[in-house]
Amino acid sequence: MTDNDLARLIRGQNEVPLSAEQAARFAALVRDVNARIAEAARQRLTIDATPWSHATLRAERGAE
Amino acid sequence: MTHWFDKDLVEVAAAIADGAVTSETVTLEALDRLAALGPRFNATVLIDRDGALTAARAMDRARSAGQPLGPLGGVPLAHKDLFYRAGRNCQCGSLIRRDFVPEHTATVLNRLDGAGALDLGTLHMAEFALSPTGYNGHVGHGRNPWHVDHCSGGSSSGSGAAVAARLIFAALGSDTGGSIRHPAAMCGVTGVKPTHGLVSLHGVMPLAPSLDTVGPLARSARDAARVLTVIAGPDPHDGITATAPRRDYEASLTGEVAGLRIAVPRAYYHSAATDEINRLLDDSVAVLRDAGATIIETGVPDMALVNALMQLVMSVEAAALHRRWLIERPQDYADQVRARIEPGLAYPATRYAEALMMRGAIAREWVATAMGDADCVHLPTLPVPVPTIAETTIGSTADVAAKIAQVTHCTRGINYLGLPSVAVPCGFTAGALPVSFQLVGRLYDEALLLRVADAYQRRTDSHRRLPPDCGPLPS
Repeated sequence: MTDNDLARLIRGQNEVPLSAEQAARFAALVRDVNARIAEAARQRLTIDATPWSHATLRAERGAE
Repeated sequence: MTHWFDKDLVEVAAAIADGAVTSETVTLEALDRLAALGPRFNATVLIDRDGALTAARAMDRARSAGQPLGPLGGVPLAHKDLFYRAGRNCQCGSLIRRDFVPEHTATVLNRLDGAGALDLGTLHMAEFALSPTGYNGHVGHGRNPWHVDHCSGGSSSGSGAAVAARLIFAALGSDTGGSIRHPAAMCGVTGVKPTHGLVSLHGVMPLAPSLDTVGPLARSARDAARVLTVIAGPDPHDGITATAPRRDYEASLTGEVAGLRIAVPRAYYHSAATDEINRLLDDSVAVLRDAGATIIETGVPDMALVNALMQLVMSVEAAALHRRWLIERPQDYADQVRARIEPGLAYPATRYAEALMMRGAIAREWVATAMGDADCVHLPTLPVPVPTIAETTIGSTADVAAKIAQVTHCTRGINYLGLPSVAVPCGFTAGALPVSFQLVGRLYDEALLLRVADAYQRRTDSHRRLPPDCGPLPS
């Protein structure tokens, strides 16, 4: 996806008026974060994983 | 002549309760110091002198009538300008909310009121809580009481500076990626970032609700424990607090750490610190070891992943909350602030859901690797010397971003993990700027962290040092 594509996507989906130059400021960050989390989720998440696991963890600790 | 400004919050509360001093005397001194020194550090926004003195006199009358004052009775405080009080202007450090007047009061302010604390007014903050250095393009940068050319830390910049300069006895801040711990570290005070969900967020300007926390900045762990005891616990106005325990955090301060195990993960955290800061961090570990704690070395899991998860959750939630203004008033944000929100417009919804669904598992991984069977973890708060304001505002976008990333290196991941952390001052660099370590614990382990911090402070004096030119005002 080019910077222009990214800016167009944001304008289309979120209505925020961004230029390609503005999108270029964070395009690399978004690509890196997106890929890193997608890979981690592919390795860790299964359909049976507790969806709201952090709230459960808190509840367990709070009840101790 | 007794100067009350250099006493601890706990000491002053006792003196007011005992009748050794009136709340009016202490409040008048605080108001004079806020007026004289606050502008030097750009620490204040709105101070209500008449209202504060009226409240102080009411507290003194209550005491004379034999009424109990509460644990913070008559003690002057002031807070970051994002806690709503019905009818009082709350700007959130922004141009967009310059005229905002909330209709309800934050639960934490109601609880402080109920404990007898005086609320003198509002303190400087980064625009919409979106700068770790105290940057504010609209009202100017927060300035460090130890050296005004250096950052105060942010986003709770006024809270850190006002407590460090002894203008007030404690202040509330908020922490989404380090915004309590950065100013605590840079200004040399104690800051508590509680477990996500321990303290109500009702009536607090949200930045990223899954990460946002509220806690005290104070002169000592004991003072912070007093404030945390008042503000923590379940609030029917905020569902995330449903399982929060209510505890007396001050009661946990035994001064002892014998038998405790403290983990020190060298990789990622200490490896990012300068030699000078590592020496001071090692000295602080030695104090705890000499006090009877067992020190163990541990590692860390994939911190690039933890930081990516934090970045995504923060920017997506902030983008959702700010989208309307990004459409209608984009010119009213500073560039540095918009740059932190805008990536959140670009992530797919599946990534955001994955980031939240993995949160418990990733928190377990971090605790297992960094803490193991220890009771808490000892980390740098800020791995580099307090930067100058110029270093974080002038230069190429990449240079500034790199400098800011150093500031949040050790703090931002902790918010995704949801874990509690206490920032503790531990000495000064050769440039006479504060250095700080943070103690990180398991969920809801604030009592243990404050116990370790207090034990450290009973054996050291960094937290008692006064910034230059912050002594008694000329009479």
